[in-house]
Amino acid sequence: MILRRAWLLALTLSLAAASPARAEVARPVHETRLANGLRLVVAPDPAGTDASVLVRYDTGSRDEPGGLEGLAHLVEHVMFLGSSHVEPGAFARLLEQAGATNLNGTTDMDSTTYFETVPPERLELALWLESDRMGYGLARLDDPTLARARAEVQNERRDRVVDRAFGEVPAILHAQLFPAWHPYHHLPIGRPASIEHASTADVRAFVRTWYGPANATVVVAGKVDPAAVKALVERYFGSLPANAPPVRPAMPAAETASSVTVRVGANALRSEIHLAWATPRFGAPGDVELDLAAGLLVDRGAGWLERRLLAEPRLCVAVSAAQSSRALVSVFEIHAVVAEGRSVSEAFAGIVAALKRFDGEVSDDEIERARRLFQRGKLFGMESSLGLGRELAGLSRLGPLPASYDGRHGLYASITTGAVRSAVHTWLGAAPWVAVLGVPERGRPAAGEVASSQEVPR
Amino acid sequence: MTAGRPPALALALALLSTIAGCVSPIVAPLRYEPVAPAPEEPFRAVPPDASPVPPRVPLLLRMTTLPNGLRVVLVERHGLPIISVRIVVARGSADTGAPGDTYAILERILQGGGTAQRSAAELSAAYAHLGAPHRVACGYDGVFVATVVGAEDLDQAVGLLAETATGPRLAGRDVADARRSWLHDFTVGANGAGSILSRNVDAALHGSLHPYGFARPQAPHTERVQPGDLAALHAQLFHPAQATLVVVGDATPAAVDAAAARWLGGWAPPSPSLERPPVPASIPGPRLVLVERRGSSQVHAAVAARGPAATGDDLAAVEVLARVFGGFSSRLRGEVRVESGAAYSFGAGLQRQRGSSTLTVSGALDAGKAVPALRTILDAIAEARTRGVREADFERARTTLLAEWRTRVSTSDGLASLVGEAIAHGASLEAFATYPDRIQAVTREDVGRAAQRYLGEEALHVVVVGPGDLRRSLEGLGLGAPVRHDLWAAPARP
Repeated sequence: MILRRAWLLALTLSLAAASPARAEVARPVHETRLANGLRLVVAPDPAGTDASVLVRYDTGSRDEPGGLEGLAHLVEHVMFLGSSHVEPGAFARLLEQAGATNLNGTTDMDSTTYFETVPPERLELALWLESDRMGYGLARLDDPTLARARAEVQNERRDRVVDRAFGEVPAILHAQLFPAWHPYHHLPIGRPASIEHASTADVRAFVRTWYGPANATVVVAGKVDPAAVKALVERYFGSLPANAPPVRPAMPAAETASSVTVRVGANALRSEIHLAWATPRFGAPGDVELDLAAGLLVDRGAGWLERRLLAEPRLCVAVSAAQSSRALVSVFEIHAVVAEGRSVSEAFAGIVAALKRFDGEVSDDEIERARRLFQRGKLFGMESSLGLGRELAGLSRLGPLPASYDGRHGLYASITTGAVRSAVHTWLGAAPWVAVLGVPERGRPAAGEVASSQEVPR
Repeated sequence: MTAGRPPALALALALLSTIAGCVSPIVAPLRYEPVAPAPEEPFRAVPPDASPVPPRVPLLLRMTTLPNGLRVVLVERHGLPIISVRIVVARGSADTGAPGDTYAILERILQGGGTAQRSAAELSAAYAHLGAPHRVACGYDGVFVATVVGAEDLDQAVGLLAETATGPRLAGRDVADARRSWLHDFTVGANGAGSILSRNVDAALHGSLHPYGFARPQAPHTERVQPGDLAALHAQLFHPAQATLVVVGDATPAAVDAAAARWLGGWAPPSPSLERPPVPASIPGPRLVLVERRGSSQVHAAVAARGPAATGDDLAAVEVLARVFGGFSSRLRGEVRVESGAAYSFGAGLQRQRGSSTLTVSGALDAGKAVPALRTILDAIAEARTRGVREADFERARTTLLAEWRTRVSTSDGLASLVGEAIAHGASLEAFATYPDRIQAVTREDVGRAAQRYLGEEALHVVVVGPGDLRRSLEGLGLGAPVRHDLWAAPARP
């Protein structure tokens, strides 16, 4: 017997004991739609300790008219500053008083999501508050309130963009990747002038257009009873007018004729490379395959890019690759931070060499490794009610959800090596790209600015 | 402003504007006209019950000890087939006296280097094969190597962590690679405003030669760090009697015992274990520091003070005190962020440490509003010290701390991280397990006393990273003239 002594420390914070049953992955998913069009998704987890509520509005910066870039994000901030029955500051105060955590909101190109994690006993409070935000969120909007939200957003922009080395690169990259008429041409953070330009009338118009129940999905995950959740959601959201969203205009294909190299100078200590392609939208053929391609390139030190760039002769000090799946067009991006004493062109050549690996054989072991990266990541995300809720809110974009969720295990398992190679050939190999080469230059702003750009004919 | 237009017209106008050279995105028109209002209903008038709910999280901690002294802690969680595994060493840089750069290079090797059995690439591939992250942190009070795996991979995970922790490859080439990459990353990282702020807070509170301060790495010294230095440091830190294997998740005691015995049972102590010396007394530095950073539009600033030790009797009261100033709905955050429009990032917290903890109230402030915001923070602290904390602020702070604990222990990795932190600080598992009770037992009077004891006027240090022209207005804070240089540039340890 190896053990010399053993003792148990029993904690009696509750009389309940951990279940000895073997863990199951699949979580039941209950989906329904209210008469006003609101989608409700409930994922109960009896073993959980809390419940998360997410309200996802199917709108983001893609719906901002010209000159109002940043409006969707500004609206998100306004929506924390009180509603008809919730005085300014009370939204967060009531939730925190009740023991809520993870209280926040996010805005991306396609969606705006508000969320909080609460003790299961206080689920009703969270739903009451979110329904007030949805139905009565403009009641307290006036110029001083908008000015407060604007100040928050401008501060956030300075933190995330202006004061960050190469902070402008994502905006420069998207402006090159998508034509000016495309909704993804600009980022949700907006520009200082457009944020200042937005009026209370614009905020009201945006909310009236996109914040109705018919354009929203409520996801509740965690230690909850689906029937009780449905009754609460019917009570608090059921009487809100549907406020159906408008039909979005048809979008022409954003064909790019040439690849482009943009040189960005910044007051920074290091050089960076951002290499990006426009790729299939979320859920379209090629989307998941490119997830796996990213996993083959970068995976905790074992990926092809990592081995090529981070191992001796160490061309870079950091590298990442990701397929960012979006509603209209996705973006596959490789990002590398060039090592001291190495040139951008050396590092770029290293990236190209790593990508050429897709021309050769991809072993079963390697594809299995990439699959595991995603399958495990999804599984680990399911452990928290917020993680599970986020995943389901994201998947709800594809249409009705299946009756159970298992981390999309089967989906990743079904992707073949040939499909990954084919997706890489079609969407990365044969398609135009945008390369942003960020280089240190004195006299430039820290966030960087375009020094030059050059088209590379196909 | 785009008035209501039919989608087809909007598309046509957008395409037309493209041709004309004035390009607008193709989007649906916004509704500027009113829409049907939501009806008033009686239940809207009064919010549902918002009273606090104490966390009730069932935990069963099982601890065993191997013959070589290594402890094994298991918390069973069978909700999902996930296991968080970590090896925690309750010794850190404050225990060894080793120079900071030697310590950091060892961390780099543990994170990205190889082992006696495998090259760095082979080790990475082994972790990746499990779909497992591989994390390492070497702190003032402890070291951990950690991963999260599927339940079926417990044995392999313990094996990989054991190999990483007990047999890092400390040969010449690995050391040279780690040394070079660390120096480069450190040089780049040290230029960030957040990094400048944090190291100056540490130096101001503890003194630049204190283990919780810092010593600026000197390139010539770093270049002289040899494999033998790293081996000696590794032997000091990684001793089975100083280590604990923490497993949280879908594992049985039998499986954990078997994996621990197989991979760590044969770990022989290389040398006597290292007695934990008391953490030396701090030698506080200047009370007002301005580190000039040209061209930045935000001012990074912190008001900081030393708190009790991580195992101190009044730590719980100080945690509540720190939370009074931070959190989403704190009064101070509302004043600085919402009412004054001075910040986006703003918060307060307590960094627990074995010697003395660090309490900070900090933010990235709009340069034009930075000094008034600092005045607001100092006034809020003075109010807590002289009048105590308000009942509503106290209740909110206590509730949010307990809620945060509930959220963190809701995942295997979050719970394993908290257990590991407690072990590194020298806290008992009993103390860890009774955290909610200790927070619940704190009274408003306890918090008021903690404010008097730890947030006295002379105990506060203000560090500002921003434009040099803030100097004159900073003098108005009543803390004297600011020291105007990076304390990191002070003479380093010999």
